[in-house]
Amino acid sequence: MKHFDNFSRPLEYISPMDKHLRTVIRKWADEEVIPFRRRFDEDWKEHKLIEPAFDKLMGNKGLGLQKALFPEELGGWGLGHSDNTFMISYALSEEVGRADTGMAVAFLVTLWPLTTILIEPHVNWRLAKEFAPMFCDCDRAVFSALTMTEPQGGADIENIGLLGGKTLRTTARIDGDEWVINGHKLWPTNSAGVSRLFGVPCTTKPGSNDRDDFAIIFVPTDTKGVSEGNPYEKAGMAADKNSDIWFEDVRVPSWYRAHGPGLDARTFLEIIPWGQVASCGFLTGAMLNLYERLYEFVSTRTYCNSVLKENDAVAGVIGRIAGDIDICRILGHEAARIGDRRNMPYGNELGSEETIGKIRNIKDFISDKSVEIFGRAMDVLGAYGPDRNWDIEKHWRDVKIIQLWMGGKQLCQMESARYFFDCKTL
Amino acid sequence: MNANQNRGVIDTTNRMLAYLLNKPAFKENLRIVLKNIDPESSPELVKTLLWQDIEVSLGLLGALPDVANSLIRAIDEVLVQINDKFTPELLAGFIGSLLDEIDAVRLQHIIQNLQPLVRDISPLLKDFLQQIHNQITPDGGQP
Repeated sequence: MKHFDNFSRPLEYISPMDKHLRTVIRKWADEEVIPFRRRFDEDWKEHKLIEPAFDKLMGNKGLGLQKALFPEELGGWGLGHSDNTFMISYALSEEVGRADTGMAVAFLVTLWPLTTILIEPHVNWRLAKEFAPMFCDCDRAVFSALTMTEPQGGADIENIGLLGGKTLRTTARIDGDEWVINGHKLWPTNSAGVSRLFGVPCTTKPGSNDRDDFAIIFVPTDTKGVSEGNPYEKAGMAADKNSDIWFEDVRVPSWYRAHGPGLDARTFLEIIPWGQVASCGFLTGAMLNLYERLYEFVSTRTYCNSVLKENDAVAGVIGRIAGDIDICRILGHEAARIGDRRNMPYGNELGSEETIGKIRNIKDFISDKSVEIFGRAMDVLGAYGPDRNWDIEKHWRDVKIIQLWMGGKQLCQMESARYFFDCKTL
Repeated sequence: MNANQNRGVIDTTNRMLAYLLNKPAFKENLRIVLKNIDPESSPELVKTLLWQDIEVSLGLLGALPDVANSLIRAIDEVLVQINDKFTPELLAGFIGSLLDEIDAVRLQHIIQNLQPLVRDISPLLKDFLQQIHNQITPDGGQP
């Protein structure tokens, strides 16, 4: 194979712009991230190395990607009304993920809560106008976060299909023309002081599983009553900061709610496919980089006077690794196509059980394969496996985190069973 | 070469033409069409286009400024939109990638091959233009 770009994709669905967009992002990755990423682990708290790379990816002094979803009338690129948004997001996820999946998640999660108000047909123009200057008129990277997880509930919040927000303890009550928010969140990507804007899933009636009582309310992080803890020290993904967040009588205008009763829950369900497809992109991006590094290793290291890849036992392992990458990449693109088929007569709504079940299933499969083949690659590298100079160990730590997030394997399996076996109580 | 490669529009056209040009009936029909090109009729065609309905022809002519202005404003708007929405770094990278797709070696090849051709036919063109010039009287009419 001439290049890792030759791993399979459904080429019929790839836009002519894909190659050129990838070229731009790959140049950024090769110049701004890959030469420095071995030192990112020590930069987990300060982000002195990491921030400049984010600025060049997201800010107007660089590539300006943080404004992509906003309508063109507000200074964005209008990606929110493209029928190809999932495929473009996949390409971005894969290219950034190839360099650093922690950076990939921090970047894509910035767009994540905004999908609830910027993706057709659910564009909230008033909020779009309110927040557009924050993202479109800034030279530096600006982040946002979707604050889902709570101490008592874990991934219950994402399991809205079954629980309908029943376990949410972050509350919002209306007081005049303001929402008053109280609660405690854990783990959001881009917390610990990174973000300027939070999308906060909460309940207007604690204990209710009525979807009308589920709310997504936007909260600028400098609002009085918002406080954040220090970043957690994790196994990897140093470019993504996570912390506790507390909301104590936080007041925001009533129109900062994403949409209103019913539609908030629906757009929250639609968030799930975005997160899972992006996760697939992060994983296959890391796998492409695994292939690059492994190819070099097995082509230069020798055993019995022959390069490793010509040894039967090694060839059996690396052949299977490459084959799994090939299959995962096809599946990842299919997940993106499932999302982009939402406007097609033969497609399904983003929040449907079929869309969520199938995409979660693909993410679960790719996650498992990814963890498995990085483990096998470590075996092939032997004592070089844990050596940072080969970059495999970094991805090895990071892909495990991707496998665990958004409800981990368990919620993926439940959503999958719910669709494929018509389960009623899961 | 793999038989499944290059199945694009040009390749399809190539294969269709190769098939058609191998058929005597197609070539005979083509020959008939080519033999029936009648340059002497082209003035009549122009007259028909111009005078069959003068409103249409003058209307088309009158619309030319609007067409030109539309193109000018469209190009201007494209540039405004691009400069407004996309950062210089993104544009430079994207356009650089597009230019990389241009077959520069072939382009250079064409220019190289064109040079002797231009050199060889330029005296002929010069003579041809001189002949036209000699046939024009000082008042602009034919001698």
